[in-house]
Amino acid sequence: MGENKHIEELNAFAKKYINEIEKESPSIDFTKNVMHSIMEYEKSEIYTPNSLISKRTWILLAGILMVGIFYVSKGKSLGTIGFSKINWDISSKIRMPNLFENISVSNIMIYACFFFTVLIFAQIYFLKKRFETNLKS
Amino acid sequence: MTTTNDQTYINRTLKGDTNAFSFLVEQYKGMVYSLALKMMKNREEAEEVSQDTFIKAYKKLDKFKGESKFSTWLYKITYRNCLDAIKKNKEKYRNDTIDEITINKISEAENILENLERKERAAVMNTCLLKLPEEERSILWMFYFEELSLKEIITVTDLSEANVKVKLHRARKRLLTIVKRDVEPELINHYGRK
Repeated sequence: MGENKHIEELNAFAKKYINEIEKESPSIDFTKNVMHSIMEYEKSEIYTPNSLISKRTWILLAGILMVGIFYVSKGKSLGTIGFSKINWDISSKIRMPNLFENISVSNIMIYACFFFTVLIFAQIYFLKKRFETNLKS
Repeated sequence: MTTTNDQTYINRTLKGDTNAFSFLVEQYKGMVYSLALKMMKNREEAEEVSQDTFIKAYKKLDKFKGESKFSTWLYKITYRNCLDAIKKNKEKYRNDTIDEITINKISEAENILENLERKERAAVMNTCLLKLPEEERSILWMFYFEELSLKEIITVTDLSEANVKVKLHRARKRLLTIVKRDVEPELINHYGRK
């Protein structure tokens, strides 16, 4: 009984005098500063630009290109590495009126178009991967 | 558990309306700051910890499921932030711990305090409160000033119910001892009265 009474008195003492302590407020600019930090955080989260194709990939692509140029410069035509085996004449397979009958295209042009197409598809792959990663985060 | 008003602003923030969060900051800044100030004992550091609390709350807002009041959730972040800051600078926050809790006569401490003007008494009590160890200090503050329930304090501190009760009791007794030990000699020095 005595102990309980003592606890009650202690409780009343603490309640009375702690409640008299004045509540202090933060600075006037507090909300403004917090919101500024949040806006800065949001900006940094929106998009961090970085290269689409990594440095490593570029080095690899440059290496392949260099090897190709070296191969050709040594006097070996691209035909020896198998391009001549590809039947580029698709007109015999598809029965369609040849709209480009009068246009003659060199092999070099065809090779260029081929590599250009490969590059576009490669970019689509990289872009898709990038967008997926960005949307997830 | 969260008030509808709070939940409205939480939902708006989560939907991308960043400015809606400023309402929550405005609403709870005083509460967060006062706890931080009681734990850090320094205005600048309390302000820094409080700002950090709101930024953390904003980043983790999607993890708030409304199982407790939004204020309790904010208190929990503040409490953790303060403990982390204190841990980083242990030397600075070393307390003048009073191991002996000898005073039992509440009337003695009351007589001392009643000799003071209300404003002066509030300042004295604040000084005495700041002499308690930070855990006990914050529990006393939350329980008596902010009127948090025991259950809410348990959520904020992650302590067991028995532990909170023990700390609360010890804190009250220690506060009483500090009032008697520190305030009485000061009163005699200043006013020559007891």
